[in-house]
Amino acid sequence: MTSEAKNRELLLLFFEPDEKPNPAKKEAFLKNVMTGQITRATKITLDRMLLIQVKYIRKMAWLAALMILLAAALITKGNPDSVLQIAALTPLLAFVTEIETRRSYAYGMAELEMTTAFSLRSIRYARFMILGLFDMAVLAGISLLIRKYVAMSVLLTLAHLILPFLLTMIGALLLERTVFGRTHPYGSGVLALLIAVVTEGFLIPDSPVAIPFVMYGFGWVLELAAVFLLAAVIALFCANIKQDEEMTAIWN
Amino acid sequence: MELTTERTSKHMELKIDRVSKQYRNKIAVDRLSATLHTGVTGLLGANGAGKTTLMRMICGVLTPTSGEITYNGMPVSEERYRSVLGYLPQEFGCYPEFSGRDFLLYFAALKGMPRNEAEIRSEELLETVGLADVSKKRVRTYSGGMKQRLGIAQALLNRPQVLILDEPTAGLDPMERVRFRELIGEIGKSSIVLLSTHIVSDVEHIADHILMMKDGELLWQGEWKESDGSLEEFYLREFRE
Repeated sequence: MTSEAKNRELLLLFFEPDEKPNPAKKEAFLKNVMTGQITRATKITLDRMLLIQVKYIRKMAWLAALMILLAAALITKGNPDSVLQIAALTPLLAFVTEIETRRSYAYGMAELEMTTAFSLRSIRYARFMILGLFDMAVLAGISLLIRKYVAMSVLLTLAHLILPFLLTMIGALLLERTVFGRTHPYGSGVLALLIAVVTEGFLIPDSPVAIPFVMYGFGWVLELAAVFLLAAVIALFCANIKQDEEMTAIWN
Repeated sequence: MELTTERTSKHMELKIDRVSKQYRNKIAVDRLSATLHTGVTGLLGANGAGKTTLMRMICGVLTPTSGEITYNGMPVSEERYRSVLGYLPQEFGCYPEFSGRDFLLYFAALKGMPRNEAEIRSEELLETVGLADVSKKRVRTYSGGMKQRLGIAQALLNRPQVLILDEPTAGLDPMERVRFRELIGEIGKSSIVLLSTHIVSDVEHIADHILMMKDGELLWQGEWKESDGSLEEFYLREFRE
C-alpha cells in the first residue's frame, strides 16, 4: 500500500464509526482539503465589519434599550418626575452594552478572534459603535418623547438621561482594566445598580445638588459634563482595546 | 472588501528572527530564531518552556518584546497574514448560543469568506470532522474530543498556508490521536504546519523538522530521521542536562 493510500485510509478512520462521514464526500474533501480555491479578504471595510457584528449581537443588548424606551412611554404620562425614573434605568443599559463589547473574553473566544482577518480589535470597535449609537439614539428618542411632560429643554433632558449611563460606562471600563474586573465580568452590574440608586437620589427635583443646575439656569453644566464624559468613555474604550494583548494573556 | 481567490504555490517561509518576549520579570522566550518551510514542524518542550508564547507571537496575538516574525517577508501583525493563517489554541471557548455550524460560519465571516462559500466550506468540514449529525446542537453540549475537532475544522476554514496548532491532541483519545497525526501529515504537504506538544510520539513520525524549547530558549532544532534513533530518548537526554 502506498503511503498516500495508507494516509487516506487512516484519515477515513479518524472518526467514530457512528460519526463516519459519507466516503464519497470524504474522498472529494481530501482532494480539496488544502488545495482548493478560497476567497480571501485582503482589505476590510468598516461597513462589512459592522454588518457581520450586527448579526452576532445578542438580543438581550437590543432588548435592554427597547425596554427602557417602553418604560419611558409607560411612566411618562402625568408624571413630572419621569425623567428621573428613566435616568435611573440607564446604568442597566450601560452595563448590558459594556458586557456585550467584551463577551469575547467572558466566553474564551478572544484568542481565536485575534487571529482572524477581522481581528478582535475590529470586532470590539464594531460592537461598541453599533450598540453605542443605538443606545444614544434610544435615549435621544426618549428625550423627544417626554419633552411635553418635563420643564426642561430636550438637550438638558438628554443630559440627565445620559450622565448616569456614561458614568456607569466609565466605571465598568475602569473595572475592566483590573484583574478583579477581568475575572468578574458581571462585577460592573453591581456598579450599575449603585449608580442607579445614587442617580435617583442626586436628580430629585428638590435635591440641594440638583436645584442650582436646573432651577437657576446652570443646566449647561450638565450638558457640558455629558459631552466631556462621552469623550472620556470613547478614550477609555480605545485605551482598553490597546490592552487586548495583555488581557488575553491574563484571561488565558 | 478586496478579495482574491488565488492560492499561492510559491515557496513559503515563516521566519522567526531573534524573537524575545518578556513579562515583567520573566523572560518567556529568549532571542529565538528559526525558519519554517512547507511541511510539519514539531515544537517540543516541557510545560512552561515558552511554546504557547512563541505560537501566540507567530499568530500575532502577542507582540514580541524584541525581534521580528515574518511570513514571506510580511510582518505577522498584518491583516494579509491573518487571512492565510489557521490557528488552534490550546484552549478555546464558544458563545453559549452557538451551534457547531454557527461557530464555523462565524469564523468564516471573520476570515472574510463570502456567505455562500462559507456555508459550503463549513458543511464540507463538518462532514469531514464527523460533526455533521450534531452540527445544529449547541457547542456547549459537545464532548472534549468533539470540541477539539470543531476547533481543527475552524483552523482549516480558509485553507491556511500557515497552520499553528497548540497542543492539538489534548482531549483526544489515543485512537483519535493517531488519526489526527495522519491528518496533519496530509495538510503539511501543502502548508507550513507548526504543532506544539510535550508528547514526543505526537510528532516523532510526522514532523519533517523538530524544534526543542527549554526555559524560553531553543535547545535544539533540525531534521529527525528514523536512522537517528529514538527522538524520545534524545529529548529526555537533552532535557535532563
